[in-house]
Amino acid sequence: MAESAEKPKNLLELKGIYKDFEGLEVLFDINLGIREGERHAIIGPNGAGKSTLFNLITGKYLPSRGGIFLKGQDITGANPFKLNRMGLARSFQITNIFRTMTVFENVRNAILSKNKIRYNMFSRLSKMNGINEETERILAQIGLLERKNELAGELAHGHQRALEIGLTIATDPELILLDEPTAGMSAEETREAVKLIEQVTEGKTLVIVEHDMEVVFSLANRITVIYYGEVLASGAPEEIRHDQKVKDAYLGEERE
Amino acid sequence: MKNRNQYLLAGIGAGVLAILFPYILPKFQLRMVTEIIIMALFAMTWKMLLNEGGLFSFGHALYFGLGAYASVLGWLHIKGLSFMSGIFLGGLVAGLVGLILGAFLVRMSGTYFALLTLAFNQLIWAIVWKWRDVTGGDDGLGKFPKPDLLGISMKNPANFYYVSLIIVGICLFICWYFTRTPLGNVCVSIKSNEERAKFIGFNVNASKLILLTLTGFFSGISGALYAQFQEFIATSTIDLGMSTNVLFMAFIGGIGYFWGPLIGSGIFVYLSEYLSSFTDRWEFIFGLIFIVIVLFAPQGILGIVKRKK
Repeated sequence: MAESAEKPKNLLELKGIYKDFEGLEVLFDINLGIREGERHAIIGPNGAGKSTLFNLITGKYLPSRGGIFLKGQDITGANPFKLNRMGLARSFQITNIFRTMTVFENVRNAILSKNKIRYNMFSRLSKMNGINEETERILAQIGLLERKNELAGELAHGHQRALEIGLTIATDPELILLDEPTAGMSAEETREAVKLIEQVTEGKTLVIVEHDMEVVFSLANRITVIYYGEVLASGAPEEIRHDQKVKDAYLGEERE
Repeated sequence: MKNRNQYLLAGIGAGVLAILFPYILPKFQLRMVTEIIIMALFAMTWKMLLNEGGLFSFGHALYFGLGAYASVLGWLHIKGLSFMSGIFLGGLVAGLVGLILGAFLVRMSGTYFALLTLAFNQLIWAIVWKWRDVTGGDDGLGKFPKPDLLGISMKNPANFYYVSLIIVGICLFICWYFTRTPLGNVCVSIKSNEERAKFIGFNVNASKLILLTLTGFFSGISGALYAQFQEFIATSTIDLGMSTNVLFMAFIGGIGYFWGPLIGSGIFVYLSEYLSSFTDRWEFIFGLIFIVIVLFAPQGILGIVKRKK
């Protein structure tokens, strides 16, 4: 315990990240370490730069300054497909699935990628029993086995969000980044989603951007608050809940 | 199961018919059927790019024409080049150019991809047009050897028809098989959602490049067969007219259907033959048909048939 506190093993490390969009500064000097095995929530008001931070980590944007390191390796500006192969997978705030393909085919894509079957043009897909079994296992996990032959684009919103998470975890990543996984969900669906996230990220490292504080405090064991492009506070949920700066800026006083 | 038997029956029927064609069809009709088969392969490669990879090529005659020119130049200048080697040479050159140009093309998507294919097509066409010493310019190339295949004379239209049927059949089978493989599936996924494909670990550009090379290769094969079919080639095999013809064939047959390109090339070849015997303005009528198809039956002829069922 004391040892891990002295030298925390950071799976992901952000060092001095700046990002501006044509002069509009969105992030200033973000320093953040994500420890192996933790569930780390990034919160903050709208426009604080959370999604930008996500897109920087996952290679969608390039930071203006600073470096991003995964397992000690510099991944700043690396290609998304390479990041995935290094064990980093993400979900999207706006559902990003293969809408014109079936639920089964969606998940199978990720399973194929995980098994490094990417350029094979000699074997028939339907004959790959191992792949199909693995796909069904993931489908069962995210509760979509019964809907496996439906088109992904025709699923209900909640199911699409589950599929989004399924696609993210199916490549068996070490580090999972979820971008507002419960966006647009009812209270009931949100509870289901939290259960699902807890279950599928068991033993993995999770970074989650979320607006719903109930979700954040039930999932996370560390929280970072971003406020106008800067890290306002970072620590355990209880610390954050009682941090005066955070209360003033974002959470507000708890109503009794 | 019943469906499967029906397909099997239809397949056997078509196969028997295809074998009997040289005996039951008059000579000039057999020529048309041969042309339909060769063009069907070309149209299939275009359809594959769009359907499997979401890539809309406006310069597909580039590969067809290169296949034709490369094989003809081979037969003209390489002593003793066999029939099949010549055909294969056409495919190889077209595939290689597909790979080289593809390295630039995969960086583009949508409209810019289409525009770049158009530009490459024009570029290569201009080279063929101007490089008279090699390509014959607008005079074209004729009088090239038509080697026998395993002692069978290719000068006999029936023999040539059978050989075309077999070569195209094999190529179409490979194209069909490709759609069933993991890489074919990756291409479809890229078409469905390129960004997601990237984020689950697929190298989108490399996959597209393989598809471009593959379709370039098969277009080249069809171009080389076409050269032997016509026994003469000119810049019309590589110009924009040919690039729009293939688009027409693929769309009119039905983009979403495997047999669409065959139906489309059939309609195209027959219509151009019959319309041009009535009027010089047959291309105008073609244009009208194309507009009607795109507006009212975007899934092509097969789409209409399926809807009726």
